[in-house]
Amino acid sequence: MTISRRRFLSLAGSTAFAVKSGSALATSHEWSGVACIAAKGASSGLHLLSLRGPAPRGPEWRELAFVPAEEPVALVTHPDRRICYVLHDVGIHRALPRGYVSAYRVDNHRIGDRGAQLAYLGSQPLSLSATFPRHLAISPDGQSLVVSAHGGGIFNLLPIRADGSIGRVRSIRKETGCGPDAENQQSSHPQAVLFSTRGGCVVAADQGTDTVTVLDTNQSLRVIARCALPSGTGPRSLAIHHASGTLFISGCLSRSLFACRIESSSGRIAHPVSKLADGVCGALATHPVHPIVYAMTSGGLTAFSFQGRDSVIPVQHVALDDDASRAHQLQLFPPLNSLFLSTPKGVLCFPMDATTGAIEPSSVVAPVRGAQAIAFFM
Amino acid sequence: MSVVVSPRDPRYETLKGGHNFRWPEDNHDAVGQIVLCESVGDIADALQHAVSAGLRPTVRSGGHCYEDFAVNNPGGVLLDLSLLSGANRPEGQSAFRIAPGTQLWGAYAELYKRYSVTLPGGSCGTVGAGGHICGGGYGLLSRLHGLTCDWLTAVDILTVDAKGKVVPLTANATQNTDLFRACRGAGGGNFGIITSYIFDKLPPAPREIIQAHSQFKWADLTEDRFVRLLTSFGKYWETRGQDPDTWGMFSIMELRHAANSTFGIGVQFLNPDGSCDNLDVLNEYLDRFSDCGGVSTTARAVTPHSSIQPPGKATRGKATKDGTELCAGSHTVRRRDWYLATGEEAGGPGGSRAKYKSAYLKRGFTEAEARCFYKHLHRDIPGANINGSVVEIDSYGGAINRKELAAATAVRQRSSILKMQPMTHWSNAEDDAAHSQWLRDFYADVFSGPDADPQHPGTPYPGDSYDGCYINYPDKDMLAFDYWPTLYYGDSYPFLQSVKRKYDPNNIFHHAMSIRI
Repeated sequence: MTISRRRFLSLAGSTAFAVKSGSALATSHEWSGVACIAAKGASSGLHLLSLRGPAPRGPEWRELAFVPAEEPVALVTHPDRRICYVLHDVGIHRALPRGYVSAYRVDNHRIGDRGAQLAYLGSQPLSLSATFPRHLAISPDGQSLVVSAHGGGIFNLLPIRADGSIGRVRSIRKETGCGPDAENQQSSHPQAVLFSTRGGCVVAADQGTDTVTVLDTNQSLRVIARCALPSGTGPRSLAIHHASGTLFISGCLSRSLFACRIESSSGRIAHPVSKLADGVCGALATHPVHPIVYAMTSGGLTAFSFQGRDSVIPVQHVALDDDASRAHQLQLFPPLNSLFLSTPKGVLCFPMDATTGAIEPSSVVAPVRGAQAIAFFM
Repeated sequence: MSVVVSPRDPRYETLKGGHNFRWPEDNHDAVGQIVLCESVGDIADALQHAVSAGLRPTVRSGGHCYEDFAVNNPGGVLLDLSLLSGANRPEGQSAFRIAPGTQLWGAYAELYKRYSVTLPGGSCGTVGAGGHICGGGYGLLSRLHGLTCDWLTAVDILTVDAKGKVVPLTANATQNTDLFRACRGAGGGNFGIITSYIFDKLPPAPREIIQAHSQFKWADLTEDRFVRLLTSFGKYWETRGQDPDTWGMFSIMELRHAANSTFGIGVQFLNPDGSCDNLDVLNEYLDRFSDCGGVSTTARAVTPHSSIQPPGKATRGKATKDGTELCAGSHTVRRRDWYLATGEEAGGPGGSRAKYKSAYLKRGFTEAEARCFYKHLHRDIPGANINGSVVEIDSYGGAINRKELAAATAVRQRSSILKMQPMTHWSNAEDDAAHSQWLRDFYADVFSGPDADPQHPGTPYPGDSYDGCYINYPDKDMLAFDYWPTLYYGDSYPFLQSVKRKYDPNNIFHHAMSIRI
């Protein structure tokens, strides 16, 4: 649904929507870079695409290369290097029950369209029984990866070497617990994982145990704090609004949105956890400046405005088909001032109003079937 | 009270590994701590602590696991049960109880001295009951009395429920019956920690037995004579060896690599009624090999585990498990791990770097298979000394093949007449690849012949000729085949998975070849 700026502002309240000076949101200029899209299914692998053209209208996307890869489900980029870490959602790797992580370097991404390519830097298996990993996060200093293994109920911490390659698993945490949903909560099933702004700890959601946990990445993934959600929530996605210190949690089983306070630097979370809305079923993202959280809801993508952590107001809803609603990742990329939704039919781009955060109509920028995640190198 | 051994403890380097010196492969794989438990309460506390702390627990009794299932546990907790020992009938109880840390020789001695009974278990005296019995457990009396797990009437076991709490259970024919069946042969490290094996009855210990040995010289055997010897051996056990009057006889053909000058056939015999006066059956058996040049000897038959002295190598360095030769001034000496050296002096099997495989055979050897054996037992590997390689072939069947036990236990292999255990032992890590490759090549070649299942080449896939592999002789190489569960468990794997989901829903107990949810 296209919404006027006036209407969006009236729904969201007229305060605090002025774009702060020095914000990361884009203004109109020429963009050049590459995107890497992970896709599962019939053509499982990594698609490398070039982006070239003016924002905010949007750059032109053109596929440069395809690298076969086994069930890539998540991507993160190194904060300082042109390296992409790929998580493989498998149950067996080299004959043992475990997933694995790979590293790829993006070379020549500024030297015209034809020059950009992905160079494989190697893989590292996860620990035994860390099967079907779904999410990974990279520390702000680029020295560690944390992986959540949905199948095995396990978290792994892996070091990143000086050359950007991945070292052997350094810490393992095996989780236990269950929930009332016999099919989806018979045991621990970790899902989303995020680093705190300073690093040193991660916040993780566990669909199987109805918990959100903060783990110390400096001390063998020791539990710093654990917060229980209502039984049967099935927390899946997380998003942190750093400006307000708010952690948003979506429950894929209860189809609800929750929030609590989080100290971005330490990662400590505080009770109470408030239920904010129903109908929220999947991926989340927050605006870097405005108090807006974007969430996959029944039938589409909804922008919620919030003041504090006790309530949200839906200010905009964009209808999408069922396939899009099953999107694995919703990601806001400030340099392009857009939201990107990785869906089974491809990557959708939702340009955002630079001053309000309102979503503009989407378009399929990359028709990559089975898209799971996208990463950018500008 | 538990004894906790951390990496800073001087005992850690010795206790972090077992009898196979290959494991843990490196320091990264080593456990974070070893907890030596002295009571069931200790085990429960240590297990709960590990689970609550998010650490993976692994369990060890005797430390004879062929693979790295217990000791490859990076940063985790190894629960060592070796101090929980005893085989007795507690006062006021009629059943025998064997603690998991009991070594087999200790069990035989206690059961014999106190009650004149025995356990039809293995012949390696330092093997721990913990892993042996729940994996099936067989030995020299098994043709007469069946497997150890066939006599089991209950287990006490610590499990971890869905919420992560340690729950003690008893499993028997009326309680947790599915778990009980699974504990009778599925192998260790799957469902929980067994703290007591309970037997209402045990077979009587023999008063005496007859031992016989035939020794063969490789130099006296042409390939054709060897083929005749091996096929005769197999034919006997396929036919005459399944008659009940032979069930008291157990024979092991120990085919050492031709780098050794001899190999042999050992026999333990008693009549099914326990007597040793009538030796007709034994003589009939030994007569079969007299044409093949075998020489009877009263010398004690040596088992592969005790006899093979892998060639050493003189290098400088700190104390090693197998003994590093050092030049100390004008003398050459060996610097050794004290605990392992003392154990070896005390009659234990010591240890080495080793690789093992297994196969059940439902019939004797074909000529093609026998020629394959001859080829590989004469095959040299450039740069490697493989005289520590041997194929052990055990007689099988008899009371083991009572068909009703296939449904009552997790051991599906109730039609075999031979059990084969090819193995290779060596000292130095740099020889790992050569020894492992010799064994892989031999195994793949034997099971890729004209009689092999064309859909499953290179493996003893269950069929008319073979019946898979033995889980107490685990072999990670088999993971390369996606049907490896069928090799070890036949058609009972789905049942075992259901037991796993029910009693270990969080997959607390896992290793490379554990039952997968």
